[in-house]
Amino acid sequence: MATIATPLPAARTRRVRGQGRTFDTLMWMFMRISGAALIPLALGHLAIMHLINNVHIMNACFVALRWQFLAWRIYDACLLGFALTHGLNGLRYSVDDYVHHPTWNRVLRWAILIMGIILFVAGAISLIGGVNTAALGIAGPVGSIQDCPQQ
Amino acid sequence: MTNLVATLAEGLRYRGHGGQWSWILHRISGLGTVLFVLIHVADTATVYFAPHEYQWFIDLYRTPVFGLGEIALIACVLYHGLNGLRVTLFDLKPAWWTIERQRQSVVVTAAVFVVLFIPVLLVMGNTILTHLAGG
Repeated sequence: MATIATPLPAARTRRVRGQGRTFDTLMWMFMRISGAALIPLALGHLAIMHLINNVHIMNACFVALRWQFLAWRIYDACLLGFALTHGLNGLRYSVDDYVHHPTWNRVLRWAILIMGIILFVAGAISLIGGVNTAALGIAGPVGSIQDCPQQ
Repeated sequence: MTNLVATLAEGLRYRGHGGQWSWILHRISGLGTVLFVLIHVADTATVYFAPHEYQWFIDLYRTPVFGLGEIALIACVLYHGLNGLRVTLFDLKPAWWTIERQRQSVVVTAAVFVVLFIPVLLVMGNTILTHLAGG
């Protein structure tokens, strides 16, 4: 049986000139960086709020006590910023994957952006302003969870 | 909408093994998590804007249905985080881009998820049952 020596095909790889930094390549990198940051931030938050404590312990005074420490407000601010941007960018990826109609695609992208800005601003104001204890009828700083009106 | 239907139908028809399932789970867990993040930022913001309404949300979260949703949320975040770590590691290491290694990594991710999720299920399931019994 004769073997036919076939020459190796010439290398088919070619160098493609980079497109430079586009918005989407930056977001690709951002998703990995924010994702890595969210692993300790989000899992830590879940462990503290849902395993060590739970929703039956929580009320507005629980939040007020926690926010008496500046470190927790900074922690929550990082969580707010990273979780919203990471999550809403992921939502944008999903919209681009499933909604191809140009008008609807644009409407949904704008809705995501506007919703993100509103929630970020509302969250940031709450973190800076803190729990409105005066409206709950509490004078002075909160001392315990029991200070809030019991249900 | 037709795209979404086609995606779901083809997603089930196409036999892409673990890699494809991990992609589907990553998307579902991500969308599930972001849905709650949006609600959660709004409910927490009430402590400043309308502090009496905060308790309305907390009471809602105390119901058994939301208790189950809470467990599903932890599952979503845990899986999404572990699988995201897997994807990021593979992005950083092109030397790992072999089919065997990718398949192994999906199995390892699933195993780590199960090991970490079992104690979560026990603690949170216990919380729901305790408060169901206690009223």
